[in-house]
Amino acid sequence: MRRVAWLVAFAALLALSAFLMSRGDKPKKPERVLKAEFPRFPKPWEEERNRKRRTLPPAAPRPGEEEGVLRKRDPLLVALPMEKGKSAVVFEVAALKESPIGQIWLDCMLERQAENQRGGRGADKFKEQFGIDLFKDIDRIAMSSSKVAVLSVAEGTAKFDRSGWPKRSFGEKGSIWQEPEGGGVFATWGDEIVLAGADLKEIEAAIERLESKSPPREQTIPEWSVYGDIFGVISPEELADMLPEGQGEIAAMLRASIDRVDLHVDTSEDVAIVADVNGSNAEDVRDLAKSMGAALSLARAGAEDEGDERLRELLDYATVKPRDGRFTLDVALPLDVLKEMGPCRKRDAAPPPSPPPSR
Amino acid sequence: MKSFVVARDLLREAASRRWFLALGLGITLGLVVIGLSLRMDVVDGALAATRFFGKSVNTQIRAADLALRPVFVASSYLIFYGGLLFGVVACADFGPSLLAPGRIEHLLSLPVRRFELIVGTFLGVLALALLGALYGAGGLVLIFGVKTGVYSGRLIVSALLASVTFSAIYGAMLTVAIAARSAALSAASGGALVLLGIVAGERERISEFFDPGISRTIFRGITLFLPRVSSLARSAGEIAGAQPVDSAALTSLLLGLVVFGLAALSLGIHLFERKDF
Repeated sequence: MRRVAWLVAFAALLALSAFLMSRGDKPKKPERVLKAEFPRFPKPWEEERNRKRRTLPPAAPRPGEEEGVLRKRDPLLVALPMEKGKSAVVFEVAALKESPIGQIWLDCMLERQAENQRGGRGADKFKEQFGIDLFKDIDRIAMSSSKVAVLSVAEGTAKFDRSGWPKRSFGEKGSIWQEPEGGGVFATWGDEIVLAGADLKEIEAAIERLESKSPPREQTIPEWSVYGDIFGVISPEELADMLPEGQGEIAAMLRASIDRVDLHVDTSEDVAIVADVNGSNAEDVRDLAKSMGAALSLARAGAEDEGDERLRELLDYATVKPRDGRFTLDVALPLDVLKEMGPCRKRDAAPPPSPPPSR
Repeated sequence: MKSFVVARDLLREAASRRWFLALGLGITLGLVVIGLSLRMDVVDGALAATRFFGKSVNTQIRAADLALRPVFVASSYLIFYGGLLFGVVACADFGPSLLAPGRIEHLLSLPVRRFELIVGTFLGVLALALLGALYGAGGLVLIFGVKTGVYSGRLIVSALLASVTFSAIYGAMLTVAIAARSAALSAASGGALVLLGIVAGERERISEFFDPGISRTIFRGITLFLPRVSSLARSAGEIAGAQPVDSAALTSLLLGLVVFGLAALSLGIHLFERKDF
C-alpha cells in the first residue's frame, strides 16, 4: 500500500503541477516598445525639401568670398533675428500634423474649435478675418525670442485686407497691418511669408533682413541644422532661465560655459528630442554634462519617491552623451504619456455627469 | 531530520569534488576580475563614466540603476541557463554514486528510511544550486553596490528562480538515476528536460504553428506536463531588469515547478522502494 501511495502521489502531484503551470501560460501582452528615432542629421528627403525652400536670392558675397560659392537662402530662416544670444525654434507644422501625437492633439483641438465656434471664437473666426486656415494653410512656424512669429503659409492665402486694419507698404515686397486698438501687428512678405507679433520694429527689421543685399551674417539657425519636425537654437541665457529655482548651480554653469544649444525633435513615432550642447571650453562642458546627468538622476529618484510614475517614466528615457567638447541630451517621450500631457489630457476631461437627485 | 544529515553529507562530498571546486573558483575569479577591472564614476547617483580594463565602455550619463539594468538582465540569463547546464552536468553523478554497490548497502544498513535518502540527496543538490546562484548573484550585487551605490536585490531574486527551476529538473534527473543507475542517462534526461522546458515555455506561441486538430492537441498535451524553463528564465530577466512582471502568473508557474519536482521525487521514491539491493 505504501509503495502504491508514492505512485499515487506522483500522479496527483504531476496533475497539480500541470494545472498550476498552465495557469502561468497566459500569453503575455506584447509590451509596447519605444519607437523613437533620435534626429542627429538631415535625411536625404529633408535635404531635398530644404533645397526647394531656398527661394531667396543669395546675398552679396563677403569681402574675399567668391560669388560662385553663394547659394540661395530659405526666407523663413533669414527673417529670424540674427543677434547672438537669441533663441529661435521652427515647427514643421505640416509634418507635425501627420505625426501620431499631432493627429491625437489635432483631433482634440478640432473638437474644441467646434465648441469655440459656437461661442464665436476659434480658428474659423481667424480664417474669416485673415484668410488663413490655421489647420491647413500653415507649412512652418518659427518662433523667436524677439517675439516675432514667422509663418510660411500656402501661397496667396493670407488676406489681411479683410481685417479692416490700416495697411502700409514696407520695403519692396512687404505690407504691414496694425491693429487700431491694441498692439497686434501682421505683415506679409511676398505671397508665402507672414510675420506676426506685437513689436512693429522687430517686424520691420525682419522684412529688412529679407530684402537686404548686404553680406549675410551668420543665421541663428544654420542650414546644416535644418532637420527634424521641430528644430532650432536655444540661447544659454534663456535655457538657464527655464530651469527650476533649485537648479541654480546648473543654470550658472549653463550661462558660463555654453555657447549654444541646438534642438531637434522627431515625432514620426514616439517623440524623440536631441539637444546638442556646445561650449568653447571642453572641460567646463564635461563638468556640465556630469551635473546634468546627476540632476536628471536625482529628479528621477525624487519622482520615484513621490510616486510620480509619469515623470519617472519620462526621466527613464533621458540620457546625457558626452562627446568631444560638447554633449547631447537625448529625451524620449512615449506617445502614451504625451497623450495625457497635451490639450486633451485626462485631468482636463469633464467629470462624469452626476446622477440626478433622487426624488 | 535524517534527510538533512544526508543532505549535509552530499554537500561535503560536493566540496571534495573538482567540479564544484572549479565552479567556486570560477565564480570567485569572475567576481574578482570584475571587481578589480571595473572603474565607475558616479555623480549623485548618475553613472558618468565606466572603464573596463582601462577602456571606456559607457559613453552615456544616466542614473546608475538604469545603466546597470542591461547588465543585471544579462547576468540573470547567464546565471539561469549557465547554472542549469552546469548543474545538469555536475550533479548527474550524485544519484548513481548513492546507489553504487557497497555504498547503498552500507547506507541501507543505517537507521535511515529509503525515502529519507532520496529526499536528502534532493535537498543537498538543491542547497548546492542555491549556494552557487546566491554566491554569484550576491557577489555581483555587492560589487556593483560598492562601485555605484545601487544595491539591488532583484538579481538575487532572479537567481533564486533559477535555483527553483533546477530543483525541478534535478527531481527528474534523480528519478532517472534511480531507474537506470547511470550518470550519463541522468545528465541526458536533465539536458533534454531543459531543452523541452524551453519549448514548453513558448507552448502557446509554438502551438499556433501546428494545424488545429490532433497534432496540436498532442503537442499541447505533452508540453502541459513539462516545466516552463524559458518562461521562468524570462521572468528572472524581467525581475533583474526591473520590468513589470505578472506576479500571479509567476507565482503559479513557480508553485507548479516546485510541485513538478515533488512529483518527480515521488516517482523516484516509488522506484527506489521497489528496488532490491
